[in-house]
Amino acid sequence: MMTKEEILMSGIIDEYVLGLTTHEESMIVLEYFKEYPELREHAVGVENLMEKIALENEIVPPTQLKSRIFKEFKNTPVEGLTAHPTVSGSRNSIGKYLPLGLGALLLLTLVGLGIALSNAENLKREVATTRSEFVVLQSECEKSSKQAEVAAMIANPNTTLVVIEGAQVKLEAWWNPIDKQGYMMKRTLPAVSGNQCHQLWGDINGEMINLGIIPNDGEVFHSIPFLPNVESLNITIEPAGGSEHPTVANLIASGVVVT
Amino acid sequence: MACLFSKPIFRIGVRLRMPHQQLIYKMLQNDREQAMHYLYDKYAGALLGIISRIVGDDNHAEEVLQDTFVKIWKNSEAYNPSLGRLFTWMARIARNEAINFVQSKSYRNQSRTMEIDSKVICMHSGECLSNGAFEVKGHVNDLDEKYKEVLMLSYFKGYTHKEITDKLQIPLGTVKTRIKNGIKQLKKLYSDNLVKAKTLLFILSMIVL
Repeated sequence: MMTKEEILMSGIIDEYVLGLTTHEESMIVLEYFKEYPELREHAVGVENLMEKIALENEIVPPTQLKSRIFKEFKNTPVEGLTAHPTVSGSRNSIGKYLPLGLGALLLLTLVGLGIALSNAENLKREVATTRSEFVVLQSECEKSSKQAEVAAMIANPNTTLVVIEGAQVKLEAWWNPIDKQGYMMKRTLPAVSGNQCHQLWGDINGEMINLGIIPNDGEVFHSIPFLPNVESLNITIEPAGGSEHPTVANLIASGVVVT
Repeated sequence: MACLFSKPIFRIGVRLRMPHQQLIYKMLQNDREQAMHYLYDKYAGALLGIISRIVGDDNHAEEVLQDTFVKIWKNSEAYNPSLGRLFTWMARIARNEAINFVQSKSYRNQSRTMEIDSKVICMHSGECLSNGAFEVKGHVNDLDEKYKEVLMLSYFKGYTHKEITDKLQIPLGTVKTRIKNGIKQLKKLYSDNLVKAKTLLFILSMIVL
């Protein structure tokens, strides 16, 4: 886990306030706030500063705009509020109205059947929509559970941050030798040509062991295989599909594992 | 004569207490309309300042401000105080609305027409139209230029990291460093100024007494 000072030095809190962090980075910042409440205070300080600047640079809107806006509020429902249906009833003597009632019931049944048949098609469409929404939700849940996993790992006191850096390359890896876990977050990794890839290596006693190809799938977080006694993590550019041994001349980033 | 003194210039001993963030949040939950009145009166100008710098046109900026407040009204239940201050949330909505507006097809078509018109006017008058003066006030002007331009692009224009690197042709790491150092410098400028103001007030009070 990064120290408070390291987190502040990285500037991620400032970027969070300015709205520059990705969703994943924002989740990480929120975990940092839980771990170090002083960091939240720093964020509030920056927010106050930006609010002050915005107020100093205000442009007074024309007077009539306010009433126009508040008029529009009346036609705009607030999301999240639900109307509570009211139920009212009255007691009547049902005896003399029974035949009429039964007739009405029959009529209603026939009408209802007709409506039900035409609703069947609508229902089919609704089910299809709900199913596709469920699929989206499911993938969001998977994403969220991955984020939760990463957040839990960062918060774990046995986790060490390894910054894998080079010219215009920066990744952060969280390495946990106790729970034998590894996770990587891509910050900056320039693209390579179609016939190349980025490959990750772990240095164990001077020997570079393959830890796999870094996927180019647009995802920020990736789990990485854990190996004991890794002294540093390194990235090289290799031919597509990876290599058995690293091309040392193509080493672009490196980070020391301190445990 | 009496009317000259009918309106006090200032009140001694009366302190106007502005609602605290938590109070505003409670107002939003209990009396939304009253809360919106407060938020509009306090922040509409600040939000319009941000929007105008992105949209660049008064009429359109006012439209976007209207859309912003309607969105704030509509989504007031979604605001979560644990994620940040209320103004920060509102400013993000304003920036997103402005950016969406600028990226909309109808605006882009209009802008093309405006560019042509302004070129025609340039040719006839011999002067060139400016894009609008978007100077900033306050200590932002005292920042190192390289920090000022990055902060202006990110905060006032809503640029992403990538857009800033593309526009300024500097690496991402440099963008992040300039943001961090710019904010640090801003904090120092504002706190130094506060110390100077307090010192000045103290000196003045000694002279008066």
